This record gives sequence, structure tokens and C-alpha cells, in this order.
Amino acid sequence: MTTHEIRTDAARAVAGGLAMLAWNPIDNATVVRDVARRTHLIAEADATAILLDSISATTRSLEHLFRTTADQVESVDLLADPASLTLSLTSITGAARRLKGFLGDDVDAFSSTDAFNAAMLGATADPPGVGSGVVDAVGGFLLGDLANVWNGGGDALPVGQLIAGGVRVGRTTAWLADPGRSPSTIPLFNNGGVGVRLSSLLQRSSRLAPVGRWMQGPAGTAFFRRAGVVGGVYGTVTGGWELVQHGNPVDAYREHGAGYVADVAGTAFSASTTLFLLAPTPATAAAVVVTGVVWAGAEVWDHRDDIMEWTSEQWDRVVDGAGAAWDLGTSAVSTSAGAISDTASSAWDTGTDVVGAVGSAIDPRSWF
Amino acid sequence: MPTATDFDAAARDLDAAVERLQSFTWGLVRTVDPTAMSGSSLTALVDRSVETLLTETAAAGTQCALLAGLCRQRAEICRHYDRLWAGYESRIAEFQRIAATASPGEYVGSPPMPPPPPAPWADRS
Repeated sequence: MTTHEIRTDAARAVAGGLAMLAWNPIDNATVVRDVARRTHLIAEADATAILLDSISATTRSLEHLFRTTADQVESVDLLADPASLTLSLTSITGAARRLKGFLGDDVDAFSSTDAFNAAMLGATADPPGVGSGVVDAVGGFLLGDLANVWNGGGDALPVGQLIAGGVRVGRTTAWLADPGRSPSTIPLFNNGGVGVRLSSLLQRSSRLAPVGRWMQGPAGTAFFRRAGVVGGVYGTVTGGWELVQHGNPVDAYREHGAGYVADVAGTAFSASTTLFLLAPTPATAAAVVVTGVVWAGAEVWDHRDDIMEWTSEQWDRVVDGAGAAWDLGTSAVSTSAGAISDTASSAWDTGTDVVGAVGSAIDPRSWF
Repeated sequence: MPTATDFDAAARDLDAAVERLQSFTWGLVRTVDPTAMSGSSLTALVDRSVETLLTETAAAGTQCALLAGLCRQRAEICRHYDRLWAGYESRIAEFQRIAATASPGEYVGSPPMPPPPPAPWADRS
């Protein structure tokens, strides 16, 4: 089992040092631009100045990550409201995403060197691009499982949302099949695998035990139910607006194919899960299952080429990322990474079962 | 247009930038404590960021050094231009002296031509 540890004092010291260091490349960029102006070497020096700007921005972003992580770990330590936990995780993943953006989308050493050589030699260069998956997957899982939003995938495969969606469909199916079902047992974040384990971990701490008990109590259930309704309404409205933007459905389907079906089904899934939270009946539960399965199937089919390229290593990174994010939030109570990984793995198992039921053409076990 | 003096000063500024970037590299290695966030995926992100920063800083330092070399090369070309111009001024002074002392109708030859600039960016000191 991997040991995760955030030392806030050390992280703050690193952030302070990086804040000072970030001035160095900025000063040098100013010197390079000044030299370029004085010597008429504008084209030759431009790539170097941009690279120095990028170094400064990455340094500042790294500083931000250390500082935000230290802040959030301490705020989680003093947690008064479980909603703060989500905000903390969002804040950290936001900082990480920003840093990844600097690393991937802006100038990197090689593209800058190409640009430099292009200016010096008169050649041209194409900057490469790098994507980020782990943070998006963790964020997508939280977005779906906690906030009930199912249409945030954009052009990439919404791995986290698919896992959360699979879990939601599986649990709703179980609720539907349970003869003793009642509105008080509907699937919510706090009574799911992740929520129960999180609550259990919180209850091990003398300071955070009330929060853990709150999660499992009626107030917590009401809170997560309301959060799901709010998120579901948001997802339905934004999804509906996007569909309106597509215009004529027939033309949109011809143009986007399975992607359009995924958009429609994702919006329907948001709407049906919202309805189910508001009025948990067998009919609304069945709607959740049907729209969820169609949405997952359409997403998988739309991204079938990408999926085939996935490797087990990428999945390990997703599980590792989920474990790391949870560990950040729960480090104050000495969380167990194994429990979280088990949760994510079990969530994945449920998700693949659901997706596997859709279809046929692709065996999910062969993807990973 | 920049002169040899301008190019020399620019080369010195760029040399100083290279030294500052080296100090940035050492500062980065000293500052980022790998034990501050250990074991999580953020560690991998931090490692990758530091690695990228070190690579980019090395690339920027190399580029600054290359630019400094280019400035020195141009400074040398400007100095050569200065020497050619000094020779031209000497020849034109000699021509003027001969022309001033020549008798009417005496052949004094053609006046010397000024040296062309070796490059559009080159100027005399």
C-alpha cells in the first residue's frame, strides 16, 4: 500500500521559495526583449522570451499547487461542513489542472527550441499538445456521483462520469429490484461505496466524527439529495441548451452521430435522475436505468477508437488519481488508500457490468 | 542601427542572463522538497513540473548563450566595418590632399569609394 503524506509546513516553504524564484525568468525575459530591441534581433530572441515567460508561469503555477494543497489540507483538518470537502478537492484539482495546462498546452522546451531554431534558421515548427486525464476523471466522478451532473465530458471520453453513471445505474437497479425499497434508501453519495467509506474514515477522528455521523444522518441525506437535485437541474438545463444549439435533431444526428445521441441521453439521464431524486418511484427508477444505459452505450460507441487505445496503465493512473484526491481530503484522519482504491475498483466493476450489458460489439474487459 | 559597442553590451547582458538561469536551476532543485507531498499523484505532477522546468531552463540558457554568440559575431562584423571605414577615411583624406595640391588639368585619379555595410543591421561606432 502506498503511503500518502502532505506536510503543510514544507509545502508552504516550497511555495514561498518558488514565489521568489518565479521572478528570475521574468527578469531574464525582460533582458532578452531589451537586447532584442537594441540589437534588432526581435525574431531570433522572441522564442526565448516566450519560453522564459512560460518557465515563470509554470513556476508560479507550481507555487500555487503547493500553497493551495497546504491551505486545503489544513482547511479539511478544520472541516466544519462536508461541502467544504468538495470545495477543497475542487480547488486542488483546479490548481493541478492549471499546472497541467501550462505543461501541456503552452510552450514547452522542445517546441520553443523548434521555434528558436525556426527563427535562427528560417524553418517552421508545429508545437505538440498534451492532454490530461487523471484529474478530469476524478473530477468527472465527483461531478456525477456527488453533484448528479452527467454532461460535462466535452470531446473526450468522460471516464469519471461513466464510472459514476455505471454505479448510479447499478444501484438504482438494485433499489428497483429490492422488494423493501423506500424513498429513504434511494442511492445518494452518502450511502454509496465512496460516501460510506468517507464517513467511516471521518468517524475515526475525534474532531471530525460529528461530520461523519452527519453524513449518515437524515440531515446529510437531505443535503446530498438536494445537492443531486440542484446539480441535476443544472445538468438538464445546460444539456438542453446545448441540444437547442445543435438545431434540427435529424441534421444534428447526421452530423455528429453517436456523439449527438450521447448528448441527448446525457441530458435525459440528468433529467431522469433529478426526477428520481424528487419522486423516487419504480417508473422514475426505470427511466434512470434506461437513459443511463443508453448514455453510457452512446458515449462508449462515440469514443470506441479512443477506448481501444487505452492501456491498463492508464486505468491504474485513474485509480491512483482517485485514491490520491481522496487521500488529500482525508489525510487529517490518516486515510487508507487501499480502501479508496477498492471503492474505485468496485465502482469500475459496476460500471463495466452496465456498459457490458449495452453491448455487444465491444467487450470492456479487452480494453484494460 | 546597432554598433559593435551595442552588440558587445548585449552579449554581456545575455551572459548574465545565462548565469541567472543557472542560479534559478540550483534554486529550484534546493527549493522543491520532494517529501512535502509524497506518495500521491500530485507528486508525479510536481516531479514532472520540476523536470519540465529544468529542461526548459536549460533550453532557455542555451538559447541565451547562442544569442550572446550571435551578438559577438555581429560585434566582430561591425568592428571589421569600423576598420574598413577608417581605411576609407584615410584614403579620402589622402585623395583630398592630392587634389588640393594638384595643378589644373593634372590627373588625380578617382576618389575612393566608401565600403558598403557588411549587413543591413551593421553600423559604424
